[in-house]
Formats: sequence, C-alpha cells, structure tokens
Amino acid sequence: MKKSVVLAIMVIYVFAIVVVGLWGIKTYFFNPTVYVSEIKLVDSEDGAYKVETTPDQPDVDYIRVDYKKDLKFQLYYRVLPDDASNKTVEFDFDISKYVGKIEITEVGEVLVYANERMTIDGYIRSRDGVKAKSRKIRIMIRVSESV
Amino acid sequence: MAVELILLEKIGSKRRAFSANKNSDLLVADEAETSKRKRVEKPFKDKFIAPSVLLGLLYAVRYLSGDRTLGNATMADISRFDPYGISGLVASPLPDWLTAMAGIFMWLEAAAVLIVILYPLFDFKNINNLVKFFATPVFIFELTLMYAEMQLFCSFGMDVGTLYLSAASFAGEIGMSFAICGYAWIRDPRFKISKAEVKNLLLSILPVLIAAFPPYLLQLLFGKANALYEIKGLTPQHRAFLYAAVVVPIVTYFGLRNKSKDVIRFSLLFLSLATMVSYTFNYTFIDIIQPWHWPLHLCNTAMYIVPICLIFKWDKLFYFTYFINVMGAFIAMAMPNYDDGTNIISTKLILFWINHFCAFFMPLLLVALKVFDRPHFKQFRYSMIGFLIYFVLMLIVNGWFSNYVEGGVDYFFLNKDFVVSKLGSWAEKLRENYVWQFDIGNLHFVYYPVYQTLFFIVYVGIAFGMWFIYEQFFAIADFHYDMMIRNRKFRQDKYAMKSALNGRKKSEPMYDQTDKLILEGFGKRYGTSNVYAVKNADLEVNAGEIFGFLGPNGAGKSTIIKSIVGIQPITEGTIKVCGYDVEKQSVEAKRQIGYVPDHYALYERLTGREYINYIADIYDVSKEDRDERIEKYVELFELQGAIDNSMRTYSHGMKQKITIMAALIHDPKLWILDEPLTGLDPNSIYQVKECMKQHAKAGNIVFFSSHIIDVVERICDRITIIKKGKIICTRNVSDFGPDNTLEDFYLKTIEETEVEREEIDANVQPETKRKHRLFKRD
Amino acid sequence: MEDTIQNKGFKPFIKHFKALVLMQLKDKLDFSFLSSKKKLIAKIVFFILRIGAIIAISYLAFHYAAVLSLFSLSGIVPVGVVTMIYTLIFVMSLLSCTVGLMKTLYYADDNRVLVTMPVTGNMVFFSKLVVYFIFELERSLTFTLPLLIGYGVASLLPIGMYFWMIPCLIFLSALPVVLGALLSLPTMAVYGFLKRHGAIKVTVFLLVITIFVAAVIWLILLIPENINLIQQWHHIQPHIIDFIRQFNIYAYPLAKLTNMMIGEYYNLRFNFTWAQVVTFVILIAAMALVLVVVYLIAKPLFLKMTATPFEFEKKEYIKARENRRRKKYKSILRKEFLLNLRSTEISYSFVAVYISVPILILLLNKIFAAMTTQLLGDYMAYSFNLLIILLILFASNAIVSTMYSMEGRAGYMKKTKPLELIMPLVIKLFYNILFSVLSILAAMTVFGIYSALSVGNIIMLTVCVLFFQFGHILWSAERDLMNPQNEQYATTGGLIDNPNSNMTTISAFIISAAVFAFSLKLFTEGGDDPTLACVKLMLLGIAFALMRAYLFFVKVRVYYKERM
Repeated sequence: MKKSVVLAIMVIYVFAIVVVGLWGIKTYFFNPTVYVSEIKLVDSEDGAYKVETTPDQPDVDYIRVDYKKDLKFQLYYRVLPDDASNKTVEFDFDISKYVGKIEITEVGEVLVYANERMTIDGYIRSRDGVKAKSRKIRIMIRVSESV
Repeated sequence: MAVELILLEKIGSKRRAFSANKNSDLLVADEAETSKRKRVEKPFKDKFIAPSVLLGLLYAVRYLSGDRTLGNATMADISRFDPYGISGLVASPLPDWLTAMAGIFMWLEAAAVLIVILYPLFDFKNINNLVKFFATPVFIFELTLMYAEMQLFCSFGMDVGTLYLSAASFAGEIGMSFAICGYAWIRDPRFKISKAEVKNLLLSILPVLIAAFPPYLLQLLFGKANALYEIKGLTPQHRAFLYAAVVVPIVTYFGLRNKSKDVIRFSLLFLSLATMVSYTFNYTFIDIIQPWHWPLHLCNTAMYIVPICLIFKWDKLFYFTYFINVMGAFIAMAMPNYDDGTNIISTKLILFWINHFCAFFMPLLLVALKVFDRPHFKQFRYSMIGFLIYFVLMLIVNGWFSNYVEGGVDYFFLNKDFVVSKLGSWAEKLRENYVWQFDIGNLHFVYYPVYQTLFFIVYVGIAFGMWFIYEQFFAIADFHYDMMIRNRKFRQDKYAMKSALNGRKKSEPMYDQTDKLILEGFGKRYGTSNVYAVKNADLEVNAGEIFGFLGPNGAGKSTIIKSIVGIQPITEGTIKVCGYDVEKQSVEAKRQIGYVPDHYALYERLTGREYINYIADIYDVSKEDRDERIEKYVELFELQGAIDNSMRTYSHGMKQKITIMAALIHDPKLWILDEPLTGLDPNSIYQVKECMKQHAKAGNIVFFSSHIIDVVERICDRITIIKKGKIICTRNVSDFGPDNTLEDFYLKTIEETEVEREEIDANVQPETKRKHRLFKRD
Repeated sequence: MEDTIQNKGFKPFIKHFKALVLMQLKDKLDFSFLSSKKKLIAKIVFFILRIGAIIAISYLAFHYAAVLSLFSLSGIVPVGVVTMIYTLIFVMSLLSCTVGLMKTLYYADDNRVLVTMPVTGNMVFFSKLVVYFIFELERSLTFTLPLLIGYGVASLLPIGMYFWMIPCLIFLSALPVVLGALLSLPTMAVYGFLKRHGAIKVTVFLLVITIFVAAVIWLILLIPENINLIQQWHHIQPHIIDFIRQFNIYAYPLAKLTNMMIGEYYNLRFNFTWAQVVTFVILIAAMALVLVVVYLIAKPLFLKMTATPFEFEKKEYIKARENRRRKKYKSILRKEFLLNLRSTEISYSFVAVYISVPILILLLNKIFAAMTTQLLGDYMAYSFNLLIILLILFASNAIVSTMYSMEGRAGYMKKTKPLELIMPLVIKLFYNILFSVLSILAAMTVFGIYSALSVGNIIMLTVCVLFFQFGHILWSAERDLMNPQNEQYATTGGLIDNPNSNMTTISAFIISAAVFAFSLKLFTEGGDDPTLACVKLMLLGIAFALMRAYLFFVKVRVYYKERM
C-alpha cells in the first residue's frame, strides 16, 4: 500500500471518531431547538371531512361539512417537523358571532358543534416563541348540493 | 387511373414480399422494387405533409382555447358551482362514467393525432397499420364522444366565441385525420393482416399510449387524493421515480436498438412530441401572448429542442441539449422544486417528471441509438456557445419579465434564491451582498453578478464533467458490446466443436493424423490491426523428424510458435497437434507439447526440483517416470549441486537447462524449441542436440527455431523458411551440400528484390482501427 | 573499478551525471504525460487541485483546532503541534530513505548495468542519492509545503515566510537522504545477516509481530469505559498541552528545524529571526559533514558490492530432496504458497494488513463504546466500521492487481500448460481470499462484541463484507488480466506507478464510500430496527460479488488468451 493511501486511511479513521463524537452522542450541547416549521389541518380520521386549499389562498385550509342536526366533529391537525421541540398549539376562533360552539378539551381535542349553516374562520398557532407559525382555517357548514 | 393502377400493382408485389418475411418492420422486398415504389408513392405522401401540419395546428388551437386549460382545470381550481375548487370526476358537469370515458378517450385521441401527424414523414409497415387499425377507429369513435368531450371543455369556463372556435377546429381536425387515414387505407386496403403484423401492432400500441399519457388524467379520474407522500428528499417514493428515469431509457434502448432507422426516428420523435403536447395542456392562448409564462426553463427547452432536432436534423442544436440539459434534468429530479406534499397523482407532479424524464434521457437515447453521432470536441464547443446564448437570454428575460409578474420570474433559477437556499448561508450571502440594479424607462432590472457568474462557471464545469462521464460510458458500452460478441462466438465455437467431435469424447483426437503437426491456412492478426503477421501458412511436420524453422527477425516465427503452444489465439485456419485441434481441444493439444521459449520464464523463488515437480504435476507425470527423468537430465546437464537451490542463484545457462528439463519431463510428442541454445556452454549445446536427436528417434516431433544455420543444417531433417509472414519454401536438408549450402540458400531466399518489395507494399492494407459498433447497423 | 573520469571537464561531468539521474528516474517514474499535450494539461490540473486540496484541508484543520482551543488556551495552534507533525513526516521519510537506499545502493540489479557505463563509481553512487533526493523534494514541495501553508494561513504567517520555507524545505529534503545513506550501513548488515539465516529472520519477524500485536491490544483495552470529551475536556486539555511541551523538549533538533521554517512566535504573531538563518547554516554544515562521512564509509562499500558477484546469495550445498507427486490444483496451491512466503513484499503486506484490520476495529469500537451515543450515533458507528474494514481491505487489493503481472514471463507460460485457463488464475487468489476471510471474521467478531446488533444482523453484515471483498479481489485481478504488465515486471522487476493498482486504490475509496453512504441511509431509514438494512446490505454485497465473478469469468474466457 502506498504511503499516501495509508495516510488517507488514517485521516478517515480519525474523522470517523470525530464525527461520531460530535454528532452521534447524546448531549444537549449539540441538540439545538427544533422549531415548528408548519402546522396544517389533516383529513378527519372518521371521514367527517376532507381538507382542501385553493390556489388563490394557498395558506388557508378549508373544511366543508354537510350540515345535519346536532352536527359535531373533531378537528385534526399536524405539526411539522415531527421532532419539533415544542409541539403545543393554540386555537383562535372568534366565536362570538357564531351560532353553535367550539370546544377545546383538556387533552387538546377541538370539537365543533353546529346547528345551522355557518362559516367559521380561525387560526391555529404554534407556541414556540418568536418563530411561531400559524395557519388560517375556514370551516364551512353547508347544504350538500347535487352535481 | 394510370397512377392508381401503378399503386395497386406495387401494393400487390409488396404483399408478396411481406408474406415472405416475418419481420414486418423491415421491407426486405426487392430493393429495386422498394425504391421504385417509393418513387411512385413519394409525391403522394409529400402531399400529406401539409394536412398533417394543419392537423397539428388545429389540435393545438383546440387545446389552447379558453382562459382555462384542461390541465389547469383538473388541478381542481375552478368549478362553476363551487368557487372553492374541487377535483376529480365531481368537478365535471357530466356523469362520472361519461367524464371518465371522455378523459380516457382524449388520451387515445392524443396518441392517434400524433401518429397521423407523423405518418407522412415515415415509411414502414407498422405505421401504416397503426393509422389503419388504431387511429381510424379512434377518430370514428371520436364522432360519437365529441359531444361529451366538448362538454368537458365547456365546463371549464370557455366562452361562446372560443367554444365555436374549438368546435370549428375540431371539425377541421376530423377532416384532416380522415383524409390521412383514408390514404393509409387506400395504400393498403387489407383488413386481414398477418400474425406478425398483429403482434407488432399490439406491441407498439402500448408504448405509444404510455408516451401519450396525459398528465391530467389521473387527477381527473381520481381527484387529488389526500395522502401526503413526499416525492422529494430521496424518500422511497422519490427513489422510485428516479429509478424509473434510469429503467425507462434502458428498456426503450433495448426495445429499439435492432429496429430500422425509420422506426427508431419515429419512436423517438413520437415520444418527444407527446411530451411536448402533454406539457402544452398547461397553456392557453393567454399564456402565448404573455411571454413570462413561456416554458423557458432549461429543462423545458429540451421538450421542444429534441423534436425540432429530430425533424430538421439540426445536430448543432442537439448537442446543446446533450451536454447541458441532461445534467440539469438529473439535478432537478434529485431536488424537485414543487411544494412539499405535492400529491403523487397530481397534474403538477406528473408534468414535472414527464418534462424532466424527457430532458434527461432523450438526448442519451438519441446518441445511443445512433440518430446523432457521438460528439467530438467541436460539438462540445457548439453546445457551450449555445449555453452562453441561452444564459444571456435568460438573464435578460428574467430582468425584463420580472416587471410583469408579482414576485418575479426565475428562469434557470438565476433570479431567486432557490439554489442558494439549498447551498447554505454562505451562498445566500454571496448572492445578496452583490446586487446590481438599474432602470430602463419604466422597467426595473435587478442582477446578482457574483452569483450569476459563479453559476455560469460551475455549470460549464459540470458540462466538462458530463463530457468525461460520457466518454467513460461510451468506453464501457463499447467494451461490453465487444465482450458480448466474443462470448457469443465462444459459445458458437464450443457448439461447433461438439458437432465436429461427432459423438467422440473431448479427449479423443478430432483428426486422424495423430503423428503430425499440421498448419492449414494459418493466419494471424494482432488486435484490431488489418495487417497480417502471418498469412496462409501451410505446414506439415512428421513424427521422427527434427524440423528446422528459419527466418529473419520479425518474419513470424514466434507468432507461429506462440499460436501452436497456445499463448495467443488463431485468427484464421487450423493447427493440429497430433490429431488435436489447438483451438477446440486446447488442453489435450497442450498435453502433447513441450515448449522451450526463447527466454526462460521461471518462478525464480522456487528451487529447480520444486519447479520441475510442479510442471510434472501439471502434466500428470507418474512418480516413477519423473524420478527417472529428473535423475537422467540432472546428470546430463550437470545440475546435481544446484537442483535443490533457489533458481535465483542460477546462471543464465542453468536456467535454460531447467527450462529444457521442464519441457521434457512429460516426454512430449511435439517438442518445440525457440532459440534454445542461447547462453549455453558448448558441452550443454552438445547435450541438447543429442536430446533432440534421441527424442526424434523415439518417434516424436522436434520443431526447432534458430538463427544458427550451421546447427540447423547439422541436426535437422527438413527446414522451412518464413519471410514477412509467409512460408516461402520447405526443403530437405539432404538437398544441400558443400557447394550448395543451406546458408547460401537461406540468404538468397530472404533477400528482397525491388519487385517483391513493391508487390508486398501493394498488398499490405493500411492499419485502420476496426470500429466497435453498438449494434449491427452502420 | 577505478575512479577515473573518462572525459575530463565540468560540462561533460554534469552531462553524464544528468543522464544517469534521468535514466534512473525514467526507470522509476512514468513520464508518458510529457508526450501528449492533453495528458500534460491533465497532470498539471490534477497537481494544482491536489496542492489546493491539501492547503484547504490543512487550513480547515488548523483553523478549527484554534477555534476549539484544542491545543492551547489562547486560541492558537502552537508551533509544537507543527513540530509533532513534521517529526512524523521526517521519521517516515528517514525510514523510507534508509530502507530504500539500502536496497538501491547495495542490492539493486541495475548496479551491474550502471557500473559498465562510461561513468565513475562516484557518479553512480551520488546519482542514486540524487534520485532519492528528488523523490523527497517532490514529497516536501507537494505535501509538506502545502501543509505548512495551510498552517500559515490559519496562523497569519507573514508573506515572506512562505518564500523562506522553500529553500528550507529543499535542504531539509536532503537531510533524510544523507542520514538514510549513513544508516543504510548498519541496516544492510542486519538485513544481510537475516537474509543469510532465514530461520532467524522468520523467528525475529514472528516475535516482533507477536509482541507488537500484544502490546497494541493491551493498550487498546486500557481505554476507559466512558469518555466524554466535552465534559472532561478541562481535565484532558492541560495534559495535551503538557505533552506537546515535553515533546518539543525531547525533540529539540526537530523543533528547531520547524522554527527555522515558520519562524518564532512572540508578540502575538510569527516573526522572522536571525536564529532561523543560524539554524539554516548549521543544517547545511551538518549535512555536509554527514555527506563526507557517507562518502568515506558507504561509497567504498557500494563499489565493493557492485564489483563482486553476489556470492553471499548462494547457499552451501543442500541435501538432495525427494520428488513428490501431487494433484494439479494442490501443486499450484503449493507453488503459490512458496512464492508468497519467499516474497517479502507479499508476505509482509499480508501480515500487516490482515492483522491490522481487527486491531483497528477493536480500537475504533473501544472508543465508540466509551461514548454515550444516541441512535444516530450507533448507526454512524456501524457504518464507519464497515467503511474502515472495507477501505483497508480494498486498498490492500492493490497488490492483487499486480499479481499476475508480477510473475513476469512465467505468467504467460501458464497458457502453454494443459490446464483450463481459469484454474491457475483463480488459485492465485486463494491466499488473498483466505487471509481476507480470516481477517474479516476476526474484525466482525470484534465489531459484534461491541455493537448492539443481534447475532443475525452481524452475520448478515459479515456476509456483506465478505462478498464485497471477494468481488473487489476479482475486480482487481481482472484489471491485471486486461492490462497486463508482465513485460515491465520481467525487465525491471517492478513498477513504481502501476496503473492497475492506482485504479484499484481509487475504486477502493469510491466503493467503500458508497457502501458507507448507502448503509447509513438504510440504517437511519429503518428506524429502531436495523434488520432490513442488514438484509439489503447483504444482498448488495452478494450481487456485487456475483456480477464481478461473472465478468471475471467471461473476460478470462474471451480476452485472456490474446492478452500477453
């Protein structure tokens, strides 16, 4: 083996130790805070609604749900990235003008109660400080139409 | 009428020719007849070029109509009834089943229209069948589904004026299509075609449909779906697309490589046009008059450059895409610039991948299938000039059009921070810290000189890198093709040998002359040279004789000897050693041979005894025989004190003696000696000569090459003289005497005359390299 | 041979001397790039890129060492570190020159040819020294100088110092050559003694190896169980600084030489001082003195060795051995065994490489085990283990890509024997494969002991590594078959720059890097369970080996016969 090859192998050997030592060990010194990059609504797990967006308003998540008596469904959302340091979120709905109610439970479920057609606008926000992300939501309770 | 009769006559003869040939892609009918037929038909086919171009224009008019394209529409943006946009079949005003049928039919129609457009430009059997049995039914069916198709368009915001325009162009399309289809039917009115033609037709419909697949169709049929698959960041889904980018061209290459030039050109032109048509589903007339919507990205350019180059055979333009687009497309596929979570069946995603597949592998296929030649440096220069022009144009266009689009345009990623955001903050700083802005009239221009200059330099560097990579791939491809051909020949030779053996065992001699060395028509060429080192050598050496082989340096003596002993292969002719063919029964033939080379070739770290025993093991010499022979030769050559020493300590003469011993240890039937006496002392020379005589006397063949004519004259029974690769003569040594010595005869024989030299020079072919072809056609 | 100059005068002397040196250089180096403009440009470009890369790496290393305060508390990299690096380079050069000069002065075959030329014995002797000086100079200017430039940029050396380094390095390049010429004498005595007494040579060799291996393993096992460099840094750093200081005291001459090149550090910067000039003058004087000693002692011995036949190589009469009959393949195996054993180049490299792999893996895993790694760290550790094992084994296959050619003309005589062509070619690789298997099994056992992988996963990774090594061995051998160098080895006995071994070395780095990247990606994608990743790696290794085996057999079948 040429000397240059031996030298290169030695360098890679030391490099391996350094890399594992710096990036592979459990130390908070090198684990920076992972901020939330995006929040979005996702489709209902029980099939109550599907989330859509329009090209005119790409930052708004729309939900359209057909009205029925005593309608109630849960909102599902997702916080990205999955290893974000602080994944707690808050909901902000202006419920004063809506007939019906939105209830946020202790475990973080968001339940929407409606008894007539309505449109609800609101925001869902992360709570990780200066770089908080938010997302606008529009919930439309409608009469279903035949097409 | 007369013209019509000629046509029918030709069609009749063509039919006869076709039925005789199973491969209906190639017209193997009489060449004269074929070209005559072409001369008659050409004026007719040329006349259809104009209708086919018109058809293409009308088709384009229909699809570009309206302010919303079908592509945009099925991206689920607009519905008259639902301003918030829905996708899939629910977005159509027609029933789901009709919408689905119309969508699928539009796919078939796209394929049929492209076939018909290209039909006048090509002339092979299958295209005729495609027009007749695929395009014609599609157009007929189009008449029934026309209403549904128009409805589908109407639902997407088309006003009355453009609706009428669309309808008119539709009618024109139908007219042109039927005209061209009609011509195809007239040319060959058969309904019943051969099985081979059916097979070819079916096999070509599938790739045609795949190539013409509309990017919006899946989204139209299934809606946007909601699963969040990441088709970027090298996820398994992303990798699947990348693998497809490699697999598709490989499959395409192997499918097309043995087809005719016409078929290859048609296939590639169809593929590139289909890609271009797919992409134009994204556009309307409004986009045409707003140049900032034009597809000017680097990878977009491949979509229209490739078909243009194929139609007009512009190779200078082609090499621009070959050197510049391919790498750009690869980088783009590795780092797609669509949004995270872009749906796997969305129009946007499929458009992206169709475009980049085309930009990536079309140029490679065009060179691999020899539509365009492999580039030389001259073509690389053209491509660099082309790239410079494109680059400057994009700089101008970016600056100018950014005044009309909110957020600016970013052709070739020169304007915005897409590239630098991937590289890191150091690159972002480099871009942001050096900005040049100025105004011309109402237009504001912003440039990033350092970033853009470095971008250009790096891309040129990448192009050089591509050049290097291409060269390596060509070398590998040529080498593997050559290897494949040789391997095929090897298997053929093996099969031929089995046939020649005719039921005999491989260890049995193939030929009856088991006591001779025979050369029949032996010829040898080295490597790719056309010059023969030895040509047409015929020789017969009998058992019991010492045969001398004489010739000047470079005459071909070593060539013949090395071919006999198996060091190099034979180019032509046969060599038979004691009934065994040297090529076909090499192991058995070598078992008969003992070879003393012109320069000893020993494993010098072994002792003499170890080496001799090793050779004896190879030749399966029994213990008793080797004991007897080793003792005999050790005594004869006076090696008692040295035989168990390392051969590194031996003198030249001792090494030569060991070589001779190794050649005789198995008592070979054919003993070949090439200059064996060099470096030996007189006593050893005498011993070797005695060995030779005894060996011949025992009924074996001794083949002896030497420059020392005295020795040859004294011990040989017959001699042959070789000169410039040709055996000049063979004589009995007894024919020579004191007045007519062998030396005189030899010198006279090898002396070149003026006439001889001219004759030889005229016969020698200049050395040319045999080109390696990737496939059999030129 | 008399010391008479055939053509008197300075110009003829220089002319003859130059011719001698160039002839020896051409024999050892490849100058074919001069014949083609394209090759010359490529050579220059690669040369510049190489220098640039060394400067960049050196700069980054020293820069981050300074930023992280690795070697001092004041945010600089002290000169002592450079001294240590230079010492290492110097010692390696000295060893290489000593052994090389010993062989070329006293045992080279070309001596017998050189002394027949119309030149004096002095000229031949000094031409050999000059050839080695040129090699050392090339290494200094293309490796040591860029290294020092990198340090200089990181430590803000004054511009003039870079120009001063060049004459320093020119003379420093001659130092290991003259010292090596002097040390070659006792080395030759020992070498000659061991050569004459083979049994003692083998015993000494085995003893040294055993002691060395045992010592190394003992040292490795001393590494503590838990190392946390970051937390314990304030304990460790003073020891490092102290070690550097002590080293500079004990290696005072080398420290002075280093200071001579880069200056003295005071007032927060490097300064050029007269002490450097004084050291420079002392260096030249010392070298001149050593050269005189070499001339007086080594040169007469050199002339004596070239003038007499190599009688010491001949052994006294040995008792006649018996003839033994063996099966063909056993006979070929035995022949290869004897050739390998009796060739020090091959046998030493076998031992060095195949023993070092498990030891290096032991050290690596001991260090990794001492770190508290997270899952990503574990996966990085597994991938690096694969990388190191494969890299060393693949790089050692460079010798496989010369094995057929090293036989010289005996190589193509194989084709005249009644054997299937493939048999001797494959058997020749047997010992490489055998030693590889043993080495891999040992290394993977060590890896398995320290890793958290299950037995099944370890077995799969072992299979992966084995098959990659088989495939690479066949690929290296195939290169030699397709581009044989038999004639070159037959006439010169060796090639400095064998293109086949260069390509093998390059492919070693590329393939092991690719396996590393691929394995890391697979491990991290698999989440907590690395089983699927291990399966995929195993299948990849098997596929690679099968593909290379197929290509090897086909190429032997269709190309071997016409390749000389």
